[in-house]
Amino acid sequence: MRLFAVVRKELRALLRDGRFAVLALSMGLLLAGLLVTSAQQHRRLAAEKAQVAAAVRAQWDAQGNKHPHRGAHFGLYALRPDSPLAAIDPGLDPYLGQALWLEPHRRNMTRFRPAADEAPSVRFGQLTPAFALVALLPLFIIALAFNAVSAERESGTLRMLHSAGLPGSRLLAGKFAALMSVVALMLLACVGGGLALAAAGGSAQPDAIGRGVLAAGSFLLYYGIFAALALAVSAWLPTSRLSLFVLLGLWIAFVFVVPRLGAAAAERAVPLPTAERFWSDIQRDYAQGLPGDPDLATRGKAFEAELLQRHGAKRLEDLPFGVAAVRRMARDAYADRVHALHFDDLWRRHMLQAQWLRAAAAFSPVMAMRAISMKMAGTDLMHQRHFEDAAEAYRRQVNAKIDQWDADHTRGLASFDDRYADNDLWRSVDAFRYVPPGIGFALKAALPDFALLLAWALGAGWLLAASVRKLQP
Amino acid sequence: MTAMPMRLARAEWQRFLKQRLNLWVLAVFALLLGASAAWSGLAARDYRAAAVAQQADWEQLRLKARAIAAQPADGTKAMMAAFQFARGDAPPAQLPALGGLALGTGAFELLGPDARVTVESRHTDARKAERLGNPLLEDLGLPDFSTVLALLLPLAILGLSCGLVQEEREQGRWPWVVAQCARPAQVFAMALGLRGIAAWGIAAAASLLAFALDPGATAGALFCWLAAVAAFCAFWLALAGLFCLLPLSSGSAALGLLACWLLSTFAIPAALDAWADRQEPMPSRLAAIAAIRDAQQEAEVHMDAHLADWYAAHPAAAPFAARSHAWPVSFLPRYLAQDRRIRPLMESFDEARARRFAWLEHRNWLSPNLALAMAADRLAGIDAPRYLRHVQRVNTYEDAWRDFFVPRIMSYQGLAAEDFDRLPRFEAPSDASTWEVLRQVLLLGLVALALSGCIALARKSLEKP
Repeated sequence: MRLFAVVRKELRALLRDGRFAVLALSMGLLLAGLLVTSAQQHRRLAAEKAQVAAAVRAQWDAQGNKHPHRGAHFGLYALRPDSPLAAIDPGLDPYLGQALWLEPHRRNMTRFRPAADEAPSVRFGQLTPAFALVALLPLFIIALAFNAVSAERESGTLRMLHSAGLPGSRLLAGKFAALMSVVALMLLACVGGGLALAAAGGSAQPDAIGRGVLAAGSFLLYYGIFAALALAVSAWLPTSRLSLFVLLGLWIAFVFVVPRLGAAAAERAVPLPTAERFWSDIQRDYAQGLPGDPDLATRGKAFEAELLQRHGAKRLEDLPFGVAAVRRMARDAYADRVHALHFDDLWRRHMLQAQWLRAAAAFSPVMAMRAISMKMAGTDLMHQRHFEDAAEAYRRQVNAKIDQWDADHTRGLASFDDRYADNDLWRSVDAFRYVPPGIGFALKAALPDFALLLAWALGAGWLLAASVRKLQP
Repeated sequence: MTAMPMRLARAEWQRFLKQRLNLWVLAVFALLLGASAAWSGLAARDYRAAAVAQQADWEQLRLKARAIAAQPADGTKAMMAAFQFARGDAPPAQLPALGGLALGTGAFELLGPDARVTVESRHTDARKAERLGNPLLEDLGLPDFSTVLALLLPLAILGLSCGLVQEEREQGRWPWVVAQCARPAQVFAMALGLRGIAAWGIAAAASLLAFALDPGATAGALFCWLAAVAAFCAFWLALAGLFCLLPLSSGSAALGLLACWLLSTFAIPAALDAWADRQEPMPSRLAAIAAIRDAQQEAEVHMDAHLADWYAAHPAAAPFAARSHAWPVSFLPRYLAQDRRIRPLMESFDEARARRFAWLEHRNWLSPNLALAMAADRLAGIDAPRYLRHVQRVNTYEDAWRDFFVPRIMSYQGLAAEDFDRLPRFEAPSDASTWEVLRQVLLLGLVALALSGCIALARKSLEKP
């Protein structure tokens, strides 16, 4: 019997199985429902973000007459635009703040995490298209394949196929191909539907299509792992019931147990400072100086002395520019350095925790796939850092511009209560235009996860190949 | 007559133990639940210790500020010292965890139960109140005991009871049971009951471990939790029993029960959330940003008027000599004015959360997993209604803090050393809402009873070989 014939026979058997109809229909309806709902939410959120960003900017522009530094303290907000694929995989979005306040002297963290407003069920996992693709579709594969071989053995057809001269390898390959063709169809419909919905919303760019194709390819490999595992377990174990339980056990371990244990291990191994400690360390380093640097007062005095010497003046009041603004610029440059050190350290800790999770992915392909999916959707930590770094660069640029304007438009020591800046200054500040990174960035970030997924695929393929010898009736 | 059920129980227990798969399921369940219980218990212990340490740190801060205030200083310097203390060094207003904290600290980490009141606006600068966490770990979910139990207990019951009748039939053993026993339903009930006791026993032992590790755990919380787990267990056991009676193959019955688990864990809570969102919509956090800025700008524009109004309302605090006011004195009335607008806005989020929680609590019997998670939140003390009451108490405390400090700052007097002994303190009662948990237990129990009624009605099918 040729491979194609086996595939055709398996496909026919699948279609005739009532289980397949129920499962495929349920899964299809669930995926379609989730996609449509998620796309609607995505569009509503994008519209709201645009509206709020415009309102915040209008408030900035119309501040009226103020001291320029007070205007700077009114601040701006940076809102991260969602990538089109975030409708399929919102990734970390529920746990990331929605807005970043940009103000002088201090770098802030994003605030208003949607997960804080969610019901307690959020702890079980959010029902999103990505959850369906990463967690539920493998269950669909298990439900279809747990007795693929064991049922043949139990009903005696394996003996018949063996006596008809069908090699075990060809039987397994046929079953694998039939299963994967069904799954690939569902995946294609889902990713295609997702991209079509994104296009309907006017946000399907070539970059998003490229990311979608890469994600779809990875998902196919991922489902291949589950299909191979399911067939191998079905071939190795004597009964369908045992096979089902072992596969369900593996699924529970992959989806719920390993990720949680990995997260707990990462948290214990790489602890994060408390918020209070984090901010007070920044304040301490700013006030007392970084190791080897003098304290704030000494730095200030040295800076003023240097200013007076450079301009040949005896009093700060005699200097031909706004001293407070120039002094502020020097202080803020130091504060930026201190903030960068502490924020970099915090990010380093986040990345170390992510490495622990990657190690945990050696015990669960789900973790590798989740990482890839989030990275392709641009809803992971790396993309968030890219955004926050861009916002920080913008924050510095805005404050430097306002302080420079202040220095240029005043002389000596101007009063902080004077209101000499107006809307012209606020309007002269460029708006924050964030350009998300391209597919290359996502690909680079996901390379280790791709490698892990590939290793899983090789392992599962080897197990499937090894199970051929278990196909003796 | 009484010896018969005992003999039956013994025989069923022997049969249960002889099935290796049952032992495997119980061992894995015990291992995972035990690990999660140990993790949660220790996390609860750490959480309580950190809360105590925070208060102790603040006490040091207070004593240091008191010592500085004892040294003579001019009015402006004393005012500035009082302002710095009032704006950044208030004691943490903590939401006290209740006796069931060992069920999970995850919600505490997510919501941030400490608030720092200030004479400025804590809503525009939540630096000290917000917690640092890695979103990646939060997304994966930490092994909070109540969450792990709600996820795994139904699956353990599935593993133990699946195929109890169907597989016996498929393997030709059920006709023997029918032939030898006058009431096969009794055998079935005993088998199901033993499985329930085994699963609940492991859950109870793990709960005891988690509570034992938490020094703040209470017997009342433990009792309520064990009752909730018993009702939860009874529901899933009854459902598993019902699936055993359906005319399905053992594999299909297992998949059907798994589908129920998926529905109860993910689909129904998601549907209820969506429904709750329509009934009790959550205001937009993004829109709140624009509203907050509006309040800030408005207060800044009328800063001078707010300052004059404040002194007009507090003539005793006006400085003796006429003077022009500068930061921070000129700013404080403005902060008070802007907070009068921002505070209700921010409270509206907690009000909406509390309303949604109450709404869900009346319907969560549709999803026992959600009901158990909500009961755990109640017992740990992080449920939305209690959080709202906490926020309201924090607001009252903030008013007291401001009433204490603002006149002393605005009058340029600052604080005397003995004033630091009279600082307003945050009092948070341990207001456990046990009744709500017991009501949920009762509801879940009733649903389990209804399912058991269905089993009783369908028990005739057991008499078929």
